[in-house]
Amino acid sequence: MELYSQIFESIPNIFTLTNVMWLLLGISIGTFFGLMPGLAGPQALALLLPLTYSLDVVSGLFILMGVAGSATCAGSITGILLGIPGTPVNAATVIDGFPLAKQGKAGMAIGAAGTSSGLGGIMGAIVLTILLPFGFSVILKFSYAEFFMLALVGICAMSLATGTSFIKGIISSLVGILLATVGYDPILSYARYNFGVLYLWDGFSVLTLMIGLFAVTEALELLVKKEKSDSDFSIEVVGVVEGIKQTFKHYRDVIRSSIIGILVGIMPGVGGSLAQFLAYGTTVASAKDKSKFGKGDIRGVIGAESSNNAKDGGSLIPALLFGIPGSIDTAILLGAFMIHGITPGLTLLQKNPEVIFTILWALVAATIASVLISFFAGPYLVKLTRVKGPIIGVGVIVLSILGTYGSSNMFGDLIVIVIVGFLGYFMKKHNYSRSSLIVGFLLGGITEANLRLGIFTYGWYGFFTRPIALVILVIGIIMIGYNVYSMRKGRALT
Amino acid sequence: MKYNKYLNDREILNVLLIAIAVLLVATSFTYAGRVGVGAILYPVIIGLALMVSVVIQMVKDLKGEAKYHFKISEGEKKILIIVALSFAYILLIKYVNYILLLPVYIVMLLSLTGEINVKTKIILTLTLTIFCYIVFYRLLSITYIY
Repeated sequence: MELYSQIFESIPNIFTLTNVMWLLLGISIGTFFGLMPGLAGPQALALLLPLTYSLDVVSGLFILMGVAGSATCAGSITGILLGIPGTPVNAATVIDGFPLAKQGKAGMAIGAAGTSSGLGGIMGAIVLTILLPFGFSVILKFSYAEFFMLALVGICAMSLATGTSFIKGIISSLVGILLATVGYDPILSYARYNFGVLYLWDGFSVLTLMIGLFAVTEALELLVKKEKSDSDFSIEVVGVVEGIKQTFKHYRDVIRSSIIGILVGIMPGVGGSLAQFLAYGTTVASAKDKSKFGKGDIRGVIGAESSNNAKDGGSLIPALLFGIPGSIDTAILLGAFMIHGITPGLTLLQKNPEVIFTILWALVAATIASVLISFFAGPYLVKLTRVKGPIIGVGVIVLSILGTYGSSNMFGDLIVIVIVGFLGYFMKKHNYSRSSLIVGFLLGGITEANLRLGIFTYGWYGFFTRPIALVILVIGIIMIGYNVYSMRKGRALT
Repeated sequence: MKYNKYLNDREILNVLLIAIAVLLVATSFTYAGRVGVGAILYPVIIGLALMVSVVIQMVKDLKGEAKYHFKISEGEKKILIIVALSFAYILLIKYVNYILLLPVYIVMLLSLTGEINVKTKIILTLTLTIFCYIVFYRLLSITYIY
């Protein structure tokens, strides 16, 4: 209860003029990245991480949450008007959104997408607020075995969810874990795997890896990709208000899809792509008249959009409580925590509650602001997609190099981001998941420390005799088994 | 089953991963032996798991060999040049001020794309250089990179 009252008491301290400005900056950048096909929230987050280094944690989180809360909403505008999803999680919106735009109902689709996305985001934040205090009591029962199992399940789930092949996902995660072993041994503090290179003594920086894998890799692609948009910008956008009305008319679809989004978000590594299609699928299944789906049915847009913002709130639950990222956005957010020396879990809840309040309020504010932007400026902003890829690519690569140095002052980081960016290109080309690598890197240290401390404290059998650890293991096996089954089924269908 | 005469980029990636895994395991035995048995466990598990996974992937790749014809595309050649250019820029800024070299780097990157006209190149180069000068040189006080 005390936590709930603190949440509202924190508003004046959090929403200072400076923080609001940082939030607006994050929203502007997130909107831009969301609108541009090929770019998405993670690239913007990775690029902005160095900037947060020089800020206090609250201001830094305001920028990052501004990006996280706005990119998805902006991506729906590109999807509806151009038929190209602005971000991967807007793919299901295109199914009905683009046909609606072709029928001259782009405004209605944008209005419905924005409203349902906003409502979903707010529902996600409410659930996050309600569940956090309960999670607090759960954490107290956790020991080495439970944290190890949770991190292991998180790594396996992410390996399955983000790539087309389980083996490739596992390889990516293992490379991430391997990179995390460079530096000091977490238990004995013995320097290892540095091969006499001074730069490697402290290990790799999560910031450097993220910038290399996301920002530099995408910049390399943008620089060489020849892609001309054949979009029709003459589409008239009217009827935004009608879209808002339609969303409230189909409130059941909003609630159902938001719940799906939140549940999928809570599960580590399942990802927003599944949430949107699951929500879209259930919207179709529950509709009496299914004839218009795929040809321009507003319920399709509402179903898909309600889920993709709701999952942000859901994915923050395992991230804040256990340090297990539910999505790549939250993985980058955890990276920001590491930069600022904040440890998720019990310490975060006890020592830095302001971080949680900031995340909550920034998420709500960013969602509302990005919905308003999509209503009033969306159709005009979409013209930004006319900017040529190479122009953005040059900007991203230059800012990545200088931004990395600005945050770490280490020359070696510059070499690493270029190498990692180059490797990231081949990983992307051959469907190796970059997100799995980052999650492996983030959770590698947690798994190693908890495995070794667990064995030292209660031996091997402790991992299989402690009830909570066993429950996590069983849930993990069911989740992984289900994912493998779906993957095989999907492959058989194609 | 037909085998390619030369290693392709996918095979190079796989071989590289196996080499890294072997190196990890081998190095673990040298350092961990000195600090205790517990320390050897985790890296060796990871190294072995990586080796096994990559071998499985290589077998899967060999089965589908006919589907993958390796050819360096025009885009990939450009990526190699961009990476080389970036390394050159990074190594040179140790000796020459990074802001002074920045316009040259940007122009060279833009020249590679071939899609942008001269006017846009000039505007973009100037804008980006001035932006970086204000943000990094003046605001963040990064006067040298070394």
